[in-house]
Amino acid sequence: MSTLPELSFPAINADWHAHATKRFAGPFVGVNFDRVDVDPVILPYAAIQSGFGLKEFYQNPRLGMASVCWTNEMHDLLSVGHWFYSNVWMRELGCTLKYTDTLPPIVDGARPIQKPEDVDKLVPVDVSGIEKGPTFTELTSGYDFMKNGPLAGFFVPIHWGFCPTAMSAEMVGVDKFMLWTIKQPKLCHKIMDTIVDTSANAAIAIAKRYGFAMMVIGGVLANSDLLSPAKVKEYGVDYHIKLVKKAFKGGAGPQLWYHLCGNHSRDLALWKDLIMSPFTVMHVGYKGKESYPIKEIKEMWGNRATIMSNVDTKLMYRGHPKEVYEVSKQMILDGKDSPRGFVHGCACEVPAYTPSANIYAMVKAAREWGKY
Amino acid sequence: MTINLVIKPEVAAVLKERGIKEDEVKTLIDWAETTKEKFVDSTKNLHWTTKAVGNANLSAVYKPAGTGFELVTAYGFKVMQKGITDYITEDTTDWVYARTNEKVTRITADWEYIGVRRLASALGCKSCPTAYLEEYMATKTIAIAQMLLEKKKGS
Repeated sequence: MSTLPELSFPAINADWHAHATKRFAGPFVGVNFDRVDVDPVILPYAAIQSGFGLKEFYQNPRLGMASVCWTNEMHDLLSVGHWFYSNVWMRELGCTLKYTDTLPPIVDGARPIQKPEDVDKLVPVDVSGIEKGPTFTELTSGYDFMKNGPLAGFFVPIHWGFCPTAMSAEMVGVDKFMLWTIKQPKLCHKIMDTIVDTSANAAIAIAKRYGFAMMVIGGVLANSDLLSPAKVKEYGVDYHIKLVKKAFKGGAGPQLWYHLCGNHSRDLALWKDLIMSPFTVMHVGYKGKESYPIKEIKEMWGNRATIMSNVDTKLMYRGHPKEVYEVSKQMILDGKDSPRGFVHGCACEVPAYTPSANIYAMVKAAREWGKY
Repeated sequence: MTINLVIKPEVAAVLKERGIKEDEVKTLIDWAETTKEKFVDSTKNLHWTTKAVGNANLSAVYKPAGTGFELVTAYGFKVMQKGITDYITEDTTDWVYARTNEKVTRITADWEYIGVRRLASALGCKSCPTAYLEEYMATKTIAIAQMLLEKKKGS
């Protein structure tokens, strides 16, 4: 099979795309159309479904983006494409990424920060450095293909910076970073400042090239399993605010997708102080080990932003369609009337080898219980 | 209109590009000075006001100069304020509300445009009747959001 996306996928059905575009706009313009939209956060799942490998998805962004668009039509999902991974903008700061057949790119080998003195040498990568770096080059090869080709209707320039805490930890090694949050907080803050400034510069570079840049930011490591609420604020919330402020000042946004991955049982209320834009989506993963109840998210966030639901990714991978359907049905019934809009999703990226029948179960529930 | 307002050529060029008339800015500043509906940053000697004018809002940042003022910048935006949902009092600024000397902080305000209501961050205080959109928010974030809302609403 060709790895050139132009040769690998037939043309998208224009009528389907027009309908999906109207549905996707609904939550943001207060005019719900058709039914609740479904976004299982499709990433390498799309490549697997299209006959490619997980590694190819990340190494060939054009192919990855095209496979997401094709899968979106296949499952009647979003009218926009996306492509991202967690360890972004890390190569520019001295990390080496390793591509595997089973995982998104992982930081491999010796970390750039081995000892406390290394922190003093850290300097944020400026916009020009970002533009010349490997991540931006790779990303824009995909974005230019999307913007200028037959998939232009799917194109949204996305900057992602998730998660500033986890990315900072990768610079040192997660165990050491967590220890430093207690014993060497000043070092942690210097690393986080560097990560956030670099990431904001990347958002500005994307906005400079494409006119705007949707921002996807995750609170992945900054959650209740690993940090106290006070530390979540110190290492999570406050840096999200800093990142978005700087990026917005440079022209990024206006779309904001806050993806609070993991368990936020003790800290969710702290995140309400985040920077808001007219296109804010709040996506919360778990309360303890369970999906965070949609009714509670709606109560806290429903008047503030479009909210997104959170089918447990373990259920998506291991569960049966009937279970996914029932969970989806309840989430949709709980969330569909959220005042600023609702999207039905998974708690995080849908696992790459999820049975497609379980994606269909989400969509079927939306068709049958999410009608507007 | 009694105020004397200096507008340097580079600022005049920005006004022209944004379609803002000098008289509109003078009227706005005159109103701010009369009513004290403005924020003041004494560390930088700056004044900032904003007011709904018809179906849009006009903001101006200016500073005292001689017997009058010098314009630093002016900008407009079309989203209309409908309320304030959150005061993030720990995210402080150097601005104070001139009528009460209350510290200005980040707030989250509810805005309406073409019938759509959404939230966006701004600056304000508990006694300020108006949410102030900073220039970058108004001319970048909100300007693009307005365009996308028009497009999405029409899709």
